[in-house]
Amino acid sequence: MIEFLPLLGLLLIGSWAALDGTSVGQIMISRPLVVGVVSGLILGDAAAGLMVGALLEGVHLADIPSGGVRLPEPGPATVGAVVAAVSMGGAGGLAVGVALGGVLALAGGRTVYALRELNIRILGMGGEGESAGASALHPRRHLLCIAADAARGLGVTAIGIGCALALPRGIAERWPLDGSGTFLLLLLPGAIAAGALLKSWKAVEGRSAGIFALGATAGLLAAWVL
Amino acid sequence: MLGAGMAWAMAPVLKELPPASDAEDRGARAAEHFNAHPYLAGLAMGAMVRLELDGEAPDVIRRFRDALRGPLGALGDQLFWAAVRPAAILLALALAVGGLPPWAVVAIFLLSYNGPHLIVRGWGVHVGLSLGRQVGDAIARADLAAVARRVVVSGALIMGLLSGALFALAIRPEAGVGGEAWRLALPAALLFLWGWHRGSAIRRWVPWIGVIAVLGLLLLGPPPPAS
Repeated sequence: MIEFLPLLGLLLIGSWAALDGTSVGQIMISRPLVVGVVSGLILGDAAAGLMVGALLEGVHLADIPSGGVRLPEPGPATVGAVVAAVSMGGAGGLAVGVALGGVLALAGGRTVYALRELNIRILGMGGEGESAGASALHPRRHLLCIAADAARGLGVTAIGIGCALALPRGIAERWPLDGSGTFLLLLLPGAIAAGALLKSWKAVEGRSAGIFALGATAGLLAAWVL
Repeated sequence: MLGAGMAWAMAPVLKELPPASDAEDRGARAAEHFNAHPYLAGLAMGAMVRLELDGEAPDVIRRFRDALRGPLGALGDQLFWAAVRPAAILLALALAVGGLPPWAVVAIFLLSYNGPHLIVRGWGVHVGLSLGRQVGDAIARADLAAVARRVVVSGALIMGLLSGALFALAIRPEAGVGGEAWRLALPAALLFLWGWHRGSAIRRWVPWIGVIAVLGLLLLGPPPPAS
Protein backbone atom coordinates (compact mmCIF):
# COMPACT_ATOMS: atom_id res chain seq x y z
CA MET A 1 0.00 0.00 0.00
CA ILE A 2 1.05 3.63 -0.48
CA GLU A 3 0.97 6.03 2.47
CA PHE A 4 -1.27 9.10 2.40
CA LEU A 5 1.27 11.81 1.48
CA PRO A 6 2.94 9.90 -1.39
CA LEU A 7 -0.52 8.97 -2.67
CA LEU A 8 -1.56 12.62 -2.58
CA GLY A 9 1.62 13.56 -4.45
CA LEU A 10 0.95 10.94 -7.12
CA LEU A 11 -2.65 12.11 -7.58
CA LEU A 12 -1.52 15.73 -7.85
CA ILE A 13 1.17 15.03 -10.46
CA GLY A 14 -1.34 12.93 -12.44
CA SER A 15 -3.92 15.73 -12.36
CA TRP A 16 -1.31 18.31 -13.33
CA ALA A 17 -0.20 16.10 -16.22
CA ALA A 18 -3.81 15.89 -17.42
CA LEU A 19 -4.23 19.67 -17.22
CA ASP A 20 -0.90 20.31 -18.92
CA GLY A 21 -1.90 18.16 -21.88
CA THR A 22 -4.36 20.75 -23.21
CA SER A 23 -6.02 23.06 -20.70
CA VAL A 24 -3.21 24.77 -18.80
CA GLY A 25 0.31 25.56 -19.90
CA GLN A 26 1.31 22.75 -22.26
CA ILE A 27 4.82 22.97 -20.82
CA MET A 28 5.31 19.20 -21.14
CA ILE A 29 4.83 18.27 -17.51
CA SER A 30 2.46 15.78 -19.15
CA ARG A 31 5.28 13.83 -20.84
CA PRO A 32 5.91 10.31 -19.47
CA LEU A 33 9.58 11.17 -18.89
CA VAL A 34 8.66 13.98 -16.47
CA VAL A 35 5.74 12.21 -14.80
CA GLY A 36 7.82 9.02 -14.53
CA VAL A 37 10.75 10.67 -12.77
CA VAL A 38 8.52 12.72 -10.43
CA SER A 39 6.41 9.66 -9.56
CA GLY A 40 9.59 7.65 -9.01
CA LEU A 41 10.96 10.34 -6.71
CA ILE A 42 7.72 10.31 -4.71
CA LEU A 43 7.95 6.52 -4.36
CA GLY A 44 11.67 6.63 -3.55
CA ASP A 45 12.93 5.12 -6.82
CA ALA A 46 13.65 7.84 -9.38
CA ALA A 47 15.71 5.45 -11.55
CA ALA A 48 12.72 3.11 -12.00
CA GLY A 49 10.55 6.15 -12.77
CA LEU A 50 13.03 7.29 -15.41
CA MET A 51 13.13 3.82 -16.96
CA VAL A 52 9.33 3.55 -17.16
CA GLY A 53 9.00 7.13 -18.40
CA ALA A 54 11.70 6.70 -21.05
CA LEU A 55 10.15 3.48 -22.38
CA LEU A 56 6.68 5.04 -22.53
CA GLU A 57 8.17 8.07 -24.30
CA GLY A 58 9.43 5.65 -26.93
CA VAL A 59 5.94 4.20 -27.38
CA HIS A 60 4.43 7.67 -27.90
CA LEU A 61 7.32 9.23 -29.84
CA ALA A 62 5.39 9.41 -33.11
CA ASP A 63 2.15 10.76 -31.58
CA ILE A 64 1.83 14.12 -33.30
CA PRO A 65 -1.44 15.95 -32.52
CA SER A 66 -2.24 17.46 -35.89
CA GLY A 67 -5.23 17.18 -38.19
CA GLY A 68 -7.73 16.29 -35.44
CA VAL A 69 -6.11 12.87 -34.85
CA ARG A 70 -7.20 11.08 -31.65
CA LEU A 71 -4.24 10.19 -29.47
CA PRO A 72 -3.62 8.30 -26.23
CA GLU A 73 -2.92 10.29 -23.06
CA PRO A 74 0.34 8.94 -21.60
CA GLY A 75 0.90 11.49 -18.80
CA PRO A 76 -1.53 10.42 -16.04
CA ALA A 77 -1.13 6.79 -17.21
CA THR A 78 2.58 6.92 -16.35
CA VAL A 79 1.75 7.33 -12.64
CA GLY A 80 0.02 3.92 -12.54
CA ALA A 81 2.84 2.42 -14.62
CA VAL A 82 5.49 3.62 -12.16
CA VAL A 83 3.45 2.43 -9.16
CA ALA A 84 3.25 -1.05 -10.71
CA ALA A 85 6.96 -1.10 -11.61
CA VAL A 86 8.13 0.08 -8.19
CA SER A 87 5.71 -2.00 -6.12
CA MET A 88 6.42 -5.24 -8.03
CA GLY A 89 10.11 -4.52 -8.57
CA GLY A 90 12.60 -6.15 -10.90
CA ALA A 91 12.40 -6.79 -14.64
CA GLY A 92 8.89 -8.26 -14.28
CA GLY A 93 7.64 -5.14 -12.53
CA LEU A 94 9.09 -2.97 -15.29
CA ALA A 95 7.40 -5.05 -18.00
CA VAL A 96 4.02 -5.11 -16.25
CA GLY A 97 4.28 -1.37 -15.47
CA VAL A 98 5.00 -0.36 -19.06
CA ALA A 99 2.24 -2.62 -20.40
CA LEU A 100 -0.23 -1.19 -17.87
CA GLY A 101 0.89 2.32 -18.84
CA GLY A 102 0.12 1.56 -22.49
CA VAL A 103 -3.42 0.39 -21.71
CA LEU A 104 -4.12 3.28 -19.32
CA ALA A 105 -2.89 5.81 -21.91
CA LEU A 106 -5.31 4.44 -24.50
CA ALA A 107 -8.19 4.55 -22.00
CA GLY A 108 -7.19 8.04 -20.82
CA GLY A 109 -7.20 9.30 -24.41
CA ARG A 110 -10.88 8.34 -24.66
CA THR A 111 -11.75 10.47 -21.64
CA VAL A 112 -10.10 13.53 -23.24
CA TYR A 113 -12.65 13.47 -26.06
CA ALA A 114 -15.53 13.00 -23.65
CA LEU A 115 -14.26 16.07 -21.78
CA ARG A 116 -14.24 18.14 -24.96
CA GLU A 117 -17.92 17.38 -25.46
CA LEU A 118 -18.53 18.49 -21.87
CA ASN A 119 -16.57 21.73 -22.45
CA ILE A 120 -18.80 22.63 -25.37
CA ARG A 121 -21.84 22.19 -23.12
CA ILE A 122 -20.30 24.22 -20.29
CA LEU A 123 -19.33 27.13 -22.54
CA GLY A 124 -22.73 27.13 -24.23
CA MET A 125 -24.87 26.98 -21.10
CA GLY A 126 -25.55 30.71 -20.84
CA GLY A 127 -28.97 31.83 -19.69
CA GLU A 128 -31.64 33.16 -22.00
CA GLY A 129 -30.65 36.36 -23.73
CA GLU A 130 -26.95 35.81 -23.14
CA SER A 131 -24.94 35.83 -26.33
CA ALA A 132 -22.34 33.19 -27.12
CA GLY A 133 -19.61 35.79 -26.74
CA ALA A 134 -20.71 36.91 -23.30
CA SER A 135 -20.96 33.26 -22.29
CA ALA A 136 -17.44 32.52 -23.49
CA LEU A 137 -16.10 35.57 -21.67
CA HIS A 138 -17.49 34.31 -18.36
CA PRO A 139 -14.44 33.42 -16.22
CA ARG A 140 -16.40 30.95 -14.09
CA ARG A 141 -17.17 28.77 -17.10
CA HIS A 142 -13.53 28.68 -18.10
CA LEU A 143 -12.59 27.70 -14.58
CA LEU A 144 -15.31 25.05 -14.64
CA CYS A 145 -13.83 23.57 -17.84
CA ILE A 146 -10.38 23.51 -16.23
CA ALA A 147 -11.78 22.01 -13.00
CA ALA A 148 -13.53 19.31 -15.04
CA ASP A 149 -10.21 18.45 -16.73
CA ALA A 150 -8.43 18.32 -13.35
CA ALA A 151 -11.16 16.03 -11.99
CA ARG A 152 -10.83 13.83 -15.06
CA GLY A 153 -7.07 13.62 -14.59
CA LEU A 154 -7.51 12.83 -10.91
CA GLY A 155 -9.94 10.03 -11.76
CA VAL A 156 -7.73 8.55 -14.49
CA THR A 157 -4.69 8.68 -12.18
CA ALA A 158 -6.61 7.12 -9.28
CA ILE A 159 -7.87 4.30 -11.49
CA GLY A 160 -4.32 3.74 -12.75
CA ILE A 161 -2.91 3.55 -9.22
CA GLY A 162 -5.79 1.27 -8.20
CA CYS A 163 -5.12 -1.07 -11.14
CA ALA A 164 -1.38 -1.13 -10.35
CA LEU A 165 -2.02 -2.05 -6.71
CA ALA A 166 -4.74 -4.56 -7.55
CA LEU A 167 -2.54 -6.61 -9.89
CA PRO A 168 -1.38 -9.85 -8.26
CA ARG A 169 2.30 -9.60 -7.22
CA GLY A 170 2.92 -13.06 -8.64
CA ILE A 171 2.64 -11.79 -12.23
CA ALA A 172 6.06 -10.17 -12.07
CA GLU A 173 7.59 -13.35 -10.68
CA ARG A 174 6.46 -15.25 -13.81
CA TRP A 175 8.41 -12.84 -16.06
CA PRO A 176 10.96 -14.90 -18.01
CA LEU A 177 13.49 -12.29 -19.21
CA ASP A 178 16.41 -10.70 -17.40
CA GLY A 179 16.94 -6.95 -17.02
CA SER A 180 18.66 -6.19 -20.34
CA GLY A 181 16.37 -8.53 -22.28
CA THR A 182 13.32 -6.86 -20.74
CA PHE A 183 14.64 -3.40 -21.53
CA LEU A 184 15.23 -4.33 -25.17
CA LEU A 185 11.85 -6.05 -25.50
CA LEU A 186 10.14 -2.93 -24.18
CA LEU A 187 12.15 -0.82 -26.64
CA LEU A 188 10.56 -2.64 -29.61
CA PRO A 189 7.42 -0.43 -29.78
CA GLY A 190 9.74 2.57 -29.55
CA ALA A 191 11.70 1.24 -32.55
CA ILE A 192 8.50 1.26 -34.64
CA ALA A 193 7.57 4.74 -33.41
CA ALA A 194 11.08 6.04 -34.16
CA GLY A 195 10.86 4.67 -37.72
CA ALA A 196 7.46 6.31 -38.20
CA LEU A 197 8.77 9.61 -36.81
CA LEU A 198 11.78 9.55 -39.10
CA LYS A 199 9.49 9.04 -42.07
CA SER A 200 7.37 12.04 -41.06
CA TRP A 201 10.57 14.05 -40.67
CA LYS A 202 11.68 13.06 -44.17
CA ALA A 203 8.63 14.90 -45.49
CA VAL A 204 9.83 18.06 -43.71
CA GLU A 205 13.54 17.70 -44.44
CA GLY A 206 14.57 15.25 -47.18
CA ARG A 207 18.07 14.72 -45.76
CA SER A 208 16.83 13.41 -42.39
CA ALA A 209 17.35 9.71 -43.28
CA GLY A 210 20.94 10.31 -44.32
CA ILE A 211 21.61 12.34 -41.20
CA PHE A 212 20.06 9.58 -39.10
CA ALA A 213 22.40 7.05 -40.73
CA LEU A 214 25.37 9.30 -39.99
CA GLY A 215 24.30 9.62 -36.34
CA ALA A 216 23.70 5.87 -36.04
CA THR A 217 27.21 5.13 -37.30
CA ALA A 218 28.68 7.64 -34.86
CA GLY A 219 26.60 6.25 -31.98
CA LEU A 220 27.60 2.68 -32.80
CA LEU A 221 31.29 3.57 -32.92
CA ALA A 222 31.12 5.71 -29.79
CA ALA A 223 29.40 2.97 -27.78
CA TRP A 224 31.98 0.38 -28.93
CA VAL A 225 34.96 2.64 -28.26
CA LEU A 226 33.78 4.14 -24.97
CA MET B 1 -11.17 25.84 -25.93
CA LEU B 2 -8.69 27.95 -27.91
CA GLY B 3 -11.24 30.43 -29.21
CA ALA B 4 -12.84 30.78 -25.79
CA GLY B 5 -9.42 31.21 -24.19
CA MET B 6 -8.49 33.93 -26.67
CA ALA B 7 -11.74 35.72 -25.91
CA TRP B 8 -11.00 35.55 -22.21
CA ALA B 9 -7.48 36.88 -22.73
CA MET B 10 -8.81 39.71 -24.92
CA ALA B 11 -11.66 40.58 -22.55
CA PRO B 12 -9.82 43.27 -20.52
CA VAL B 13 -9.01 45.20 -23.73
CA LEU B 14 -12.46 44.70 -25.26
CA LYS B 15 -14.14 46.02 -22.12
CA GLU B 16 -12.01 49.19 -22.27
CA LEU B 17 -13.17 50.11 -25.79
CA PRO B 18 -15.51 53.12 -26.19
CA PRO B 19 -19.04 52.62 -24.77
CA ALA B 20 -20.63 53.02 -28.19
CA SER B 21 -19.19 49.66 -29.16
CA ASP B 22 -21.00 46.44 -28.45
CA ALA B 23 -18.87 44.40 -26.04
CA GLU B 24 -20.95 41.26 -26.50
CA ASP B 25 -20.51 41.22 -30.26
CA ARG B 26 -16.79 41.69 -29.88
CA GLY B 27 -16.70 38.92 -27.29
CA ALA B 28 -18.66 36.61 -29.55
CA ARG B 29 -16.32 37.32 -32.43
CA ALA B 30 -13.26 36.68 -30.28
CA ALA B 31 -14.74 33.45 -28.88
CA GLU B 32 -15.57 31.90 -32.24
CA HIS B 33 -14.00 28.55 -33.10
CA PHE B 34 -10.27 29.02 -33.64
CA ASN B 35 -8.33 25.86 -34.38
CA ALA B 36 -4.72 26.97 -34.66
CA HIS B 37 -1.59 26.00 -32.78
CA PRO B 38 -1.78 27.20 -29.15
CA TYR B 39 1.78 28.59 -29.13
CA LEU B 40 1.13 30.75 -32.20
CA ALA B 41 -2.44 31.74 -31.27
CA GLY B 42 -0.99 34.75 -29.41
CA LEU B 43 0.10 36.15 -32.75
CA ALA B 44 -3.48 36.10 -34.03
CA MET B 45 -4.79 37.37 -30.71
CA GLY B 46 -2.39 40.33 -30.68
CA ALA B 47 -3.30 41.21 -34.26
CA MET B 48 -7.04 40.99 -33.50
CA VAL B 49 -6.64 43.28 -30.51
CA ARG B 50 -4.81 45.75 -32.75
CA LEU B 51 -7.63 45.62 -35.33
CA GLU B 52 -10.28 46.10 -32.61
CA LEU B 53 -8.35 49.08 -31.21
CA ASP B 54 -8.02 50.53 -34.71
CA GLY B 55 -11.80 50.29 -35.13
CA GLU B 56 -11.76 47.91 -38.11
CA ALA B 57 -15.10 46.61 -39.40
CA PRO B 58 -16.30 43.29 -37.87
CA ASP B 59 -16.24 41.51 -41.24
CA VAL B 60 -12.63 42.54 -41.82
CA ILE B 61 -11.60 41.21 -38.40
CA ARG B 62 -13.47 37.94 -38.91
CA ARG B 63 -11.95 37.37 -42.38
CA PHE B 64 -8.51 38.22 -41.06
CA ARG B 65 -8.89 35.78 -38.19
CA ASP B 66 -10.10 33.02 -40.52
CA ALA B 67 -7.19 33.66 -42.89
CA LEU B 68 -4.63 33.28 -40.07
CA ARG B 69 -6.11 30.11 -38.59
CA GLY B 70 -4.88 27.54 -41.13
CA PRO B 71 -1.32 28.83 -41.65
CA LEU B 72 -0.70 29.29 -37.91
CA GLY B 73 -2.02 25.79 -37.19
CA ALA B 74 0.12 24.18 -39.89
CA LEU B 75 3.27 26.12 -38.97
CA GLY B 76 2.89 25.46 -35.24
CA ASP B 77 2.20 21.76 -35.74
CA GLN B 78 5.19 21.43 -38.03
CA LEU B 79 7.56 23.37 -35.77
CA PHE B 80 6.53 22.36 -32.26
CA TRP B 81 4.56 19.11 -32.31
CA ALA B 82 6.43 17.45 -35.18
CA ALA B 83 9.94 18.85 -34.68
CA VAL B 84 10.85 20.57 -31.38
CA ARG B 85 8.98 18.20 -29.07
CA PRO B 86 10.27 14.88 -30.48
CA ALA B 87 13.77 16.35 -30.82
CA ALA B 88 13.75 17.49 -27.18
CA ILE B 89 12.46 14.06 -26.09
CA LEU B 90 15.18 12.29 -28.08
CA LEU B 91 17.83 14.57 -26.55
CA ALA B 92 16.54 13.71 -23.06
CA LEU B 93 16.49 9.97 -23.86
CA ALA B 94 20.05 10.16 -25.19
CA LEU B 95 21.15 11.89 -21.99
CA ALA B 96 19.37 9.24 -19.91
CA VAL B 97 21.18 6.48 -21.82
CA GLY B 98 24.38 8.48 -21.30
CA GLY B 99 23.91 8.11 -17.56
CA LEU B 100 22.74 11.56 -16.45
CA PRO B 101 20.78 11.52 -13.17
CA PRO B 102 16.97 11.47 -13.59
CA TRP B 103 16.44 15.02 -12.29
CA ALA B 104 19.02 16.38 -14.76
CA VAL B 105 17.36 14.56 -17.67
CA VAL B 106 14.00 16.10 -16.78
CA ALA B 107 15.48 19.56 -16.21
CA ILE B 108 17.29 19.58 -19.58
CA PHE B 109 14.18 18.28 -21.37
CA LEU B 110 11.94 20.97 -19.87
CA LEU B 111 14.46 23.74 -20.59
CA SER B 112 15.21 22.63 -24.14
CA TYR B 113 11.50 22.38 -24.98
CA ASN B 114 10.02 25.30 -23.07
CA GLY B 115 12.73 27.86 -23.84
CA PRO B 116 11.98 28.04 -27.59
CA HIS B 117 8.20 28.04 -27.33
CA LEU B 118 8.07 30.68 -24.58
CA ILE B 119 10.24 32.96 -26.75
CA VAL B 120 7.97 32.35 -29.76
CA ARG B 121 4.83 32.98 -27.67
CA GLY B 122 6.16 36.30 -26.41
CA TRP B 123 7.31 37.26 -29.90
CA GLY B 124 3.89 36.38 -31.33
CA VAL B 125 1.86 38.58 -29.00
CA HIS B 126 4.32 41.46 -29.44
CA VAL B 127 4.39 41.22 -33.24
CA GLY B 128 0.62 40.82 -33.46
CA LEU B 129 -0.03 43.86 -31.30
CA SER B 130 2.55 45.95 -33.14
CA LEU B 131 1.75 45.04 -36.73
CA GLY B 132 -1.96 44.16 -36.79
CA ARG B 133 -2.93 43.42 -40.38
CA GLN B 134 0.73 43.33 -41.49
CA VAL B 135 1.46 40.33 -39.26
CA GLY B 136 1.72 38.05 -42.31
CA ASP B 137 4.94 39.80 -43.36
CA ALA B 138 6.50 39.10 -39.96
CA ILE B 139 5.52 35.42 -40.18
CA ALA B 140 7.08 35.17 -43.63
CA ARG B 141 10.28 36.90 -42.48
CA ALA B 142 10.59 34.60 -39.45
CA ASP B 143 10.56 31.58 -41.83
CA LEU B 144 9.40 29.16 -39.14
CA ALA B 145 9.33 26.33 -41.69
CA ALA B 146 13.11 26.70 -42.14
CA VAL B 147 13.54 26.64 -38.35
CA ALA B 148 11.50 23.40 -38.28
CA ARG B 149 13.79 21.87 -40.92
CA ARG B 150 16.88 22.71 -38.87
CA VAL B 151 15.32 21.20 -35.75
CA VAL B 152 14.43 18.05 -37.71
CA VAL B 153 18.06 17.71 -38.85
CA SER B 154 19.22 17.93 -35.21
CA GLY B 155 16.52 15.48 -34.12
CA ALA B 156 17.46 12.95 -36.82
CA LEU B 157 21.10 13.16 -35.76
CA ILE B 158 20.20 12.58 -32.09
CA MET B 159 17.88 9.71 -33.04
CA GLY B 160 20.73 8.16 -35.01
CA LEU B 161 23.21 8.53 -32.16
CA LEU B 162 20.71 7.03 -29.70
CA SER B 163 19.80 4.12 -31.98
CA GLY B 164 23.43 3.36 -32.77
CA ALA B 165 24.44 3.46 -29.12
CA LEU B 166 21.54 1.23 -28.03
CA PHE B 167 22.28 -1.26 -30.82
CA ALA B 168 25.96 -1.36 -29.85
CA LEU B 169 25.08 -1.89 -26.19
CA ALA B 170 22.68 -4.72 -27.13
CA ILE B 171 25.24 -6.64 -29.17
CA ARG B 172 28.32 -5.94 -27.04
CA PRO B 173 30.27 -9.10 -26.21
CA GLU B 174 29.56 -8.76 -22.47
CA ALA B 175 25.83 -9.11 -23.21
CA GLY B 176 26.57 -12.67 -24.32
CA VAL B 177 26.66 -13.45 -28.03
CA GLY B 178 23.41 -15.17 -28.97
CA GLY B 179 21.76 -14.11 -25.70
CA GLU B 180 18.41 -12.35 -25.23
CA ALA B 181 19.84 -8.95 -26.15
CA TRP B 182 21.24 -10.31 -29.43
CA ARG B 183 17.96 -12.02 -30.25
CA LEU B 184 16.05 -8.76 -29.68
CA ALA B 185 18.45 -6.43 -31.54
CA LEU B 186 17.52 -7.79 -34.97
CA PRO B 187 13.73 -7.54 -34.39
CA ALA B 188 14.28 -3.97 -33.15
CA ALA B 189 16.07 -3.07 -36.38
CA LEU B 190 13.36 -4.76 -38.48
CA LEU B 191 10.55 -3.05 -36.55
CA PHE B 192 12.29 0.29 -37.04
CA LEU B 193 12.28 -0.34 -40.80
CA TRP B 194 8.61 -1.38 -40.61
CA GLY B 195 7.76 1.89 -38.87
CA TRP B 196 9.79 3.76 -41.48
CA HIS B 197 7.90 1.97 -44.26
CA ARG B 198 4.39 2.48 -42.83
CA GLY B 199 4.88 5.95 -41.32
CA SER B 200 2.16 7.44 -39.15
CA ALA B 201 -0.35 4.82 -40.35
CA ILE B 202 1.18 2.40 -37.86
CA ARG B 203 1.04 4.82 -34.90
CA ARG B 204 -2.20 3.52 -33.37
CA TRP B 205 -0.84 -0.03 -33.14
CA VAL B 206 2.39 0.86 -31.36
CA PRO B 207 1.08 0.76 -27.73
CA TRP B 208 -0.71 -2.52 -28.42
CA ILE B 209 2.45 -4.16 -29.71
CA GLY B 210 4.15 -3.53 -26.34
CA VAL B 211 1.13 -4.75 -24.38
CA ILE B 212 0.77 -7.89 -26.52
CA ALA B 213 4.50 -8.66 -26.26
CA VAL B 214 4.40 -8.46 -22.45
CA LEU B 215 1.14 -10.43 -22.12
CA GLY B 216 2.35 -13.03 -24.62
CA LEU B 217 5.56 -13.64 -22.71
CA LEU B 218 3.71 -13.80 -19.39
CA LEU B 219 1.14 -16.30 -20.66
CA LEU B 220 3.10 -18.33 -23.18
CA GLY B 221 6.73 -17.60 -22.50
CA PRO B 222 9.33 -19.91 -21.00
CA PRO B 223 9.45 -20.33 -17.22
CA PRO B 224 11.35 -17.66 -15.31
CA PRO B 225 15.06 -18.39 -14.74
CA ALA B 226 15.82 -20.01 -11.40
CA SER B 227 17.15 -17.43 -8.96
